[in-house]
Amino acid sequence: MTWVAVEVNGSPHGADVEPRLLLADFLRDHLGLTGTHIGCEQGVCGTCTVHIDGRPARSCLTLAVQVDGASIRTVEGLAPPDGGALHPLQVAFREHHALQCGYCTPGFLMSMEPLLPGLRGANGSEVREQLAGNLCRCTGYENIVDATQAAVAALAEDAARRVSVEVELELPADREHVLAAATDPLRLLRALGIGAPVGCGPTGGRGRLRAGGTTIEGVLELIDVDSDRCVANLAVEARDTGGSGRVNGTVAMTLSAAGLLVTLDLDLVGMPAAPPAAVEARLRRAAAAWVDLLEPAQRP
Amino acid sequence: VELLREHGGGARVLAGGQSLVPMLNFRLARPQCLVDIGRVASLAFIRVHEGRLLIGAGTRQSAVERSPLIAERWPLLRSAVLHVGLPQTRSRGTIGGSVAHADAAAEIPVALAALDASVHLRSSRGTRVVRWSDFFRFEFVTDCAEDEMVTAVEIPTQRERTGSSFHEHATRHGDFATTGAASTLTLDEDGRCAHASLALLACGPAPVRAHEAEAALVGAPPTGPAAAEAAERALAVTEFRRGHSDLPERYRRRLLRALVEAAIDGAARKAEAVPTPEPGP
Repeated sequence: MTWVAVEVNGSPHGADVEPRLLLADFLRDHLGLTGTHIGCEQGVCGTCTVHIDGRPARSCLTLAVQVDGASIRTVEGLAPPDGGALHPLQVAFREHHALQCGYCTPGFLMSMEPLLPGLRGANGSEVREQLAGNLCRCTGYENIVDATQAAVAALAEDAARRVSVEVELELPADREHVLAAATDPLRLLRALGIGAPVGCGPTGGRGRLRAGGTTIEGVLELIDVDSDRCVANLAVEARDTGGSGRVNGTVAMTLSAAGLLVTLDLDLVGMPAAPPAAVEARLRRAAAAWVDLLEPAQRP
Repeated sequence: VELLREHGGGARVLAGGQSLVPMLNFRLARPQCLVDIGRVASLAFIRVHEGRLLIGAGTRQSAVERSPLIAERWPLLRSAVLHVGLPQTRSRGTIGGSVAHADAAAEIPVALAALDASVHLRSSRGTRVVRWSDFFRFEFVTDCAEDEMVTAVEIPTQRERTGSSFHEHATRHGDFATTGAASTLTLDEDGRCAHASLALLACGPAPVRAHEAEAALVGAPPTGPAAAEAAERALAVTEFRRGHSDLPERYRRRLLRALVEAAIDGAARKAEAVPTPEPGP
């Protein structure tokens, strides 16, 4: 037996499980979260889709022991547990009669929810392409496409904003080490003030920020590094744990003789956005923090 | 790697689990021990060093898909990865996993063949680097020994004025591919093809490079007749296998011809779009 500690829909859970146990069975049988359905058990039908660290994944193709330390969201986590408002995607599914027997519905919801911001302006065939990973045996696809498009339209109306900030930061003499520190997701999260990181795996760092009564949970992932040109690209994906707000975007960092150029491109959906000047000020502070974060041994 | 040595042949490396876990679910594979490398942070990286691209075996396919460096300098790899499974599997599936699994209908090994990549291997005995053509031996069979694991893939610098294109056919989007082709073309100042690579998907027990077809492209402008001749030569080296698709061979041949021509045409158009470098001072 192996001890697995995971966060499911915002609450910590732990259990002693057989290494062979699938995540889908763990959620259903150990945690009683039977909203996640099991269909084909080979990754084709998509009804078992859940979010692992913010990304849609098949819980029938993942062992419970593989997600130790991860953050999981199931269909039960889409709407607040106290009978509060449904997620806009759930509302759209109800309004457009996008479910018949309902067996496939949790998978459709969990597959499409993270893809909604990227589908803004998409046409019907692009939406269909994104739906390809889920099967509905009642074949009610037309209504599912309609509901998804309606949810995308609802998002677009909901004050979607793009924040783009470019800051040239001056760096002190030990700048060679700054990029190394800046590309460490954990350190960057701390430096950007995205709360205390709660875990770090190959997908990068996860962090939490409490702001004005809402909790924002985010993943900052180091995507690539060009060590020849001193360029690092990071991806930010964060969401409001109680609602349907999202932040998606990229942070590009280029180190040159002049300093560190940080380019922040964030897409905010249903989230309060700090004015670019405030973001810039925070980045300037962050640059100083990166230097402070360097281990003494790393300094020349 | 110590665990792999200890368990002899009984252990399998588990990365994203998008191929191995279905095999476990079907009891097609019954390993005594699984070594989970999913959280080995040092295996997940995309790094450019001295012009070459290194991708750690544990790097998720979704990271490759989103990498600005790969999109800019190795776009063939990105378009191949976009054909791998679905967003819901690419979020877990890894580069190393796809390489080690070596499905003949897999996209990543074909892209690696077209890009002349190498595979980094490690065991308790040491490390070694193997060229793709020596690594992929047969369907699901690689040069990776029982006590070894894939740690990274290495892709050389793409030449100047090079375009690339990846085309495949699958019965349903996200399903296993029926067949496909990946091509890179480098043009000289006169718009003639200076270098060509053409790799074929599900056209044999392992990824194949159609060297005869490549030879037909070099030295001429990569237009219709040259592409048609290359497709003809590519079909000559193709050995369709029964397990890859239920579609009749005659249909698969016609598909492959169209896909090869589309890949060459796509690569040529992209190479032509690359501005010729300004003469140096």
